[in-house]
Amino acid sequence: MDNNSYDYAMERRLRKLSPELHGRFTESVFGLQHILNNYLLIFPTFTDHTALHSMNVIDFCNRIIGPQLEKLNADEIYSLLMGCYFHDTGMGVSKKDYEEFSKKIDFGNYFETHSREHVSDVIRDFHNEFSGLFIEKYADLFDIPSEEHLRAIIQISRGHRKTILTDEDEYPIALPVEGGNTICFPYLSALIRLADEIDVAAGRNLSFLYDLDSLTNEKDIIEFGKHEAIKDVEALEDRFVLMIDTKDDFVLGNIKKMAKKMQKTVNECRSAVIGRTPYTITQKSIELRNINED
Amino acid sequence: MKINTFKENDKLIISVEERIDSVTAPDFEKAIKNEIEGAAQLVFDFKKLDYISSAGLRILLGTQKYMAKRGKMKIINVNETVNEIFEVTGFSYILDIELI
Repeated sequence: MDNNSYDYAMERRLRKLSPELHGRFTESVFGLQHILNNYLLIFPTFTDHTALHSMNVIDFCNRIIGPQLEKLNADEIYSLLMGCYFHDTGMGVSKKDYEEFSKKIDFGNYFETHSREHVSDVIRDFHNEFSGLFIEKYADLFDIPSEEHLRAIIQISRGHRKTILTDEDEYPIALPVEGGNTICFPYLSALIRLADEIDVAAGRNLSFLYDLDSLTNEKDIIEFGKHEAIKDVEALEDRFVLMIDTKDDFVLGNIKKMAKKMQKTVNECRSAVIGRTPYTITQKSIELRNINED
Repeated sequence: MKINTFKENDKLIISVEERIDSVTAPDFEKAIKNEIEGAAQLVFDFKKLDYISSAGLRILLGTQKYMAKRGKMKIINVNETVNEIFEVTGFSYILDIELI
């Protein structure tokens, strides 16, 4: 099967299995792509977190799932697609929602080392939790068919930043939904987590939407510098390949650090999926390929 | 992929042929970036476009975001294959599309 065969694989399979759920999904895309723009109000210089990123996450999910798509049912595909669009909605919460949601989030001892004044830092560090609460509050706008689907979308969106997907209460292997299907939370959560982590190529930030020359914050410059040097990310059957084009040792060092973090995520996701579910993640490693050396 | 651009005052027409996929998408993005400044009406003519991958779809959505602040964007002469992609992804609700 050539790589293009996985283009839009989930979307097409969902339409075939359940035109009704597919319709609910496509109608949600319109509203979600507007909502996702809100993050720019809080993080104007951040790498892209709009629907453009969601589309990449879906595309990577399609490639990571590969032939295993045959085993996913309509309720799982619907929940995953919705999760792909919803997972970063917490990055753009309004001031009012921030205050409301903050009362419900367990921040642990976070504020012992972080200031409550730095709201954008709090949102960034807990955006998966804000996303979960956002979905819960605004679910009615998106015509989500049942409480079970809602729970699945919330959990897999929260799970895109969770390292522990082994809690059966929070991430059940087979939550029953009306009609007889079940939803496998840990697999769907691991897919989004991994797909989100590997969306690091330059194409993430479209050149005519982002003015890199205007960046002044050192952290943003480093982040965009890494993205600019990574020309493509390929999801091959057994590994992810980052195609790099840079001779800058500083940028290369940062990319190597990032690749280490990615490898950790790959290992954690594989462990959760292989250990708990009937599925697998075939990609085992992260490979850096400097295209200057070819 | 072949791209032809035509500019008249503030109207820009970009005709794309063959495929927009992960290999050709960077050239598609570059062509838009080079021509888009000053355009208030942007028309993509997809009469001879055979296929558009997710990478191409992202560029269309990004261009729509750009144009939303500056004018209008429309996609004309969309064939069945490409329209099926717009429909399966939910983009038929987002983009202004005119079928062939």
